[in-house]
Amino acid sequence: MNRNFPLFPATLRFLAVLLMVVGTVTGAQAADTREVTSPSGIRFWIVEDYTVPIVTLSFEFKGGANQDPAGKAGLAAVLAAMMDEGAGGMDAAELKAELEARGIEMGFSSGRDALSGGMRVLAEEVQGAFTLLAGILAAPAFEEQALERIRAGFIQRAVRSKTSPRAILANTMRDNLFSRHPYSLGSRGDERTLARITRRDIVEQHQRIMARDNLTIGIVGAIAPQDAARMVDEAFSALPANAALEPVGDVEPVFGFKKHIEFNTPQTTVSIALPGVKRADPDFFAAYLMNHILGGGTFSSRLYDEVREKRGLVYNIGSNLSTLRHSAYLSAGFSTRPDQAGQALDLMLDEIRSMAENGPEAGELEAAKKFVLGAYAINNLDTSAKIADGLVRLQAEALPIDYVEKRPEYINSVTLDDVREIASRLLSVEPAIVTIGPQPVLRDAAAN
Amino acid sequence: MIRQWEVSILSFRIRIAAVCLAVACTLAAFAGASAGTAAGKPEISRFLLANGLEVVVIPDRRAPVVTHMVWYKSGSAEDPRGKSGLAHFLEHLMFKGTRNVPAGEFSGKVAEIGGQENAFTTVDFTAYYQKVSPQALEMVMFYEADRMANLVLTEAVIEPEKNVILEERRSRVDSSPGGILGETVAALLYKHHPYGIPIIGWEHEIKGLALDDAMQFYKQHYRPDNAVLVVAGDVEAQNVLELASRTYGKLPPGEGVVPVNRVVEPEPVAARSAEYFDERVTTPSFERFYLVPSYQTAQPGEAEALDLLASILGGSTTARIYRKLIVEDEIATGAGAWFQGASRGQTRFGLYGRPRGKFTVEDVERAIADVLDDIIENGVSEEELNRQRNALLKSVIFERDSQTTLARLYGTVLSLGGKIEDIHQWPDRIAAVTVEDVNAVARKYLRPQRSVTSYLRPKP
Repeated sequence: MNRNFPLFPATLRFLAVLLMVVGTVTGAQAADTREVTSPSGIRFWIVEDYTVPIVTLSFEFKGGANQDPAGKAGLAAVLAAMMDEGAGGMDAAELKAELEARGIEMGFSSGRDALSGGMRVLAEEVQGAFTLLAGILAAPAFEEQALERIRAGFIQRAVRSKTSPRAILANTMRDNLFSRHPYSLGSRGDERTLARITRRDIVEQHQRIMARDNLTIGIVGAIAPQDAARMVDEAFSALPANAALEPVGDVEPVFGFKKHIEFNTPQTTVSIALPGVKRADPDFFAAYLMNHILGGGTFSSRLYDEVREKRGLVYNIGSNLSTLRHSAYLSAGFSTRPDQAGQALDLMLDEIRSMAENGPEAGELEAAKKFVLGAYAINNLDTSAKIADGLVRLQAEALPIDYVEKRPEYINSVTLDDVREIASRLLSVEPAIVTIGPQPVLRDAAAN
Repeated sequence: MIRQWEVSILSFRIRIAAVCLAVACTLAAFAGASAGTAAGKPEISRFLLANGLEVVVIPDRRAPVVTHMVWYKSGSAEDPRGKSGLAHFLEHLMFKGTRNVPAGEFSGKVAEIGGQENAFTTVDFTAYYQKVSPQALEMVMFYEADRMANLVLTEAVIEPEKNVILEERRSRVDSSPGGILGETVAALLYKHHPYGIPIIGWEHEIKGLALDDAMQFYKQHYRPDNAVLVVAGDVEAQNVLELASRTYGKLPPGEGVVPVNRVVEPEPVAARSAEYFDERVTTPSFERFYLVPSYQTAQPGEAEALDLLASILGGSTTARIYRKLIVEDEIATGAGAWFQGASRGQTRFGLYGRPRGKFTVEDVERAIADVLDDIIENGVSEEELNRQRNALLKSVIFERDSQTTLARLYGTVLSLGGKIEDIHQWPDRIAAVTVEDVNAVARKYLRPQRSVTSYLRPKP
């Protein structure tokens, strides 16, 4: 049991949640972002700031779980977990002791569409940290013993997720939304796929994914751009020039299915999915504002007001716009006492129908715009790691360096008609509904 | 977006269990150190208003963001007997409007500027916070001060909110085999002190909570002389003081004395254990908790020694338990140790492990016991103490990268009755801990009779 800070809040966001680059920045930091090209030609963005004597690095390689070979789901996740198990002539124990002795925080993780990594280090240790990172990226040991240890932990988690209502529900939803696309697979694999992964697979996937042409880098903190450029070269220039990624097609999710999973739980959990819009879609902001009004706010959304505040049926309820690299959808959900699930679902569907038919009120849209404009700095600029992640996101989305200063125009130009139109387009579709609990919630749901 | 790596590799030093109003937190864990010894440390200011409100300002001018927190020095340990969950119930009800402000207006104003807000209840304190732009600081201070004194409750809000909390309990406890067992373990560890009662309350007692109970708790505990105001971020201390005087400063001090829970847990005499079988459990797990002193109750230096002992035993991948069980013997997929230093009363030191493959909970328990016995018998080494100490001290500087972390650190320590100096001197006190100090606390506190062992098992 991990006793550390919980990694993510216990929200109802069952599926991958990605940062949306929306809002605006009024602070000095955004304006201070610089693009630098290293001597070997690697471009990165940097915010130089000496307030706190630390340096934070964030980076991302395009291609994560969506590159897992058939029958080997979980490979990218295992690769990420294996990265710091020995490197550059050090075994796993030596490497971890070295990182600890220098006070370097380093980690790797895999998502659906990218493998990412990050490092946070005291300014006085920054050179040593980049040297260690160079060894890890270029020559990870991938010790067999470490692979077996990590595999055992992954398999244990996979088995545990079979009795987790949330995990079962998320799998069922994904399977049916994205049948036969890589997105339909769990990014952490299952007992069968994890058992098949070999050390050779990991070595090959490392070579295929970690290259220079699919890499984005953000650096924040107490370091001069020219020093950062030199260290970026040291850490990344030995990587292959080009990644060898399998092409991944765009996918339109399938909606309209109704599934119930019989499971003896104290609460019934309900999840629905509807069409979304991709990040590059011109209607993205209209959809984002609409979702905020429907179920995106903390203590202020239509779903929160109707289902929790007025009636006390749930503790958590919300909706979320998910933008993946190759797809998009809108999800919403809650958990409640089994005998109340039908009532809560009806209320949620009523709110969705009403939004589809009438759109928001003018006042609601104004309030949502103000929220989205103000939230960016508050949510994304108060720590170096968030800023560094933001630099990576903007680059990965191929947005210009001054993009955040242009945000207010885009947001303010969204009209009530735009939002009504997108609400009607997305929410008039028959939703996918998956429920898990001791008794069915819908009469016409298929047993899964 | 907080990436997994960023959070998972942080080393947090203060662990506090909390129950929250919204979707934002379950267990709050805060770093229990501060960047007090580093050059260029933040200039912390402290003021005391005439009505007894303590004000702390932590400037961080890097981004146009302010974290505003009010901490009441009362939590679930102050729940009257038979009314468990009352402090947490009131936390929810604090969002229902006041004599001057209709329900929803405050949250609406925070949302309008894109702010974040939430609240959480622990055994020792209850905190409310907003994260907003600097221009909005005065606004949130006005509303937060207003609800410190003018809360109005109607019967209409009581039942729906109790139902929300019952759903919260179903999702936190009933849906989690570990949560179910945890409530029993707490009751065993604390046979007398209210820390043995769940923060969220027992279900049958939540159902019985009434408007009058909440109002009485509010009148007794929600007052400037029982609160700490922490403002961190893009602010000037003098400006915060002026705003605080214009808002909170107008409130009268409370009348009479704040009822404080003064129960002391008696010394434990017998090892206890609890075993729980649940069909949702797939891999069994083992945990052991020892009743130990906290930073508030310990003799000088003992809590620091316990912190370092936890690090040496099992705080990281270089620690003894990890090396022995996970790397060398390969009998566990996860194992470690922790110490929850932040507590007003006696607190917990924990050991845990989850068996790998064909190994059993008993194998894991035995291996952890061997590691512990070795330390009790032969002591820790100078080398590993220094290694863990340096890691701890290096991590302190990272706290300064987050105004939220700093606000929570100062708020926590002051709410528990500590002082700012305790935070600033912590690195020096950690530096002063010797091998003998660590060995002494291991031998004194990690004894079987002080412990509760819990086994979570699959249904046979």
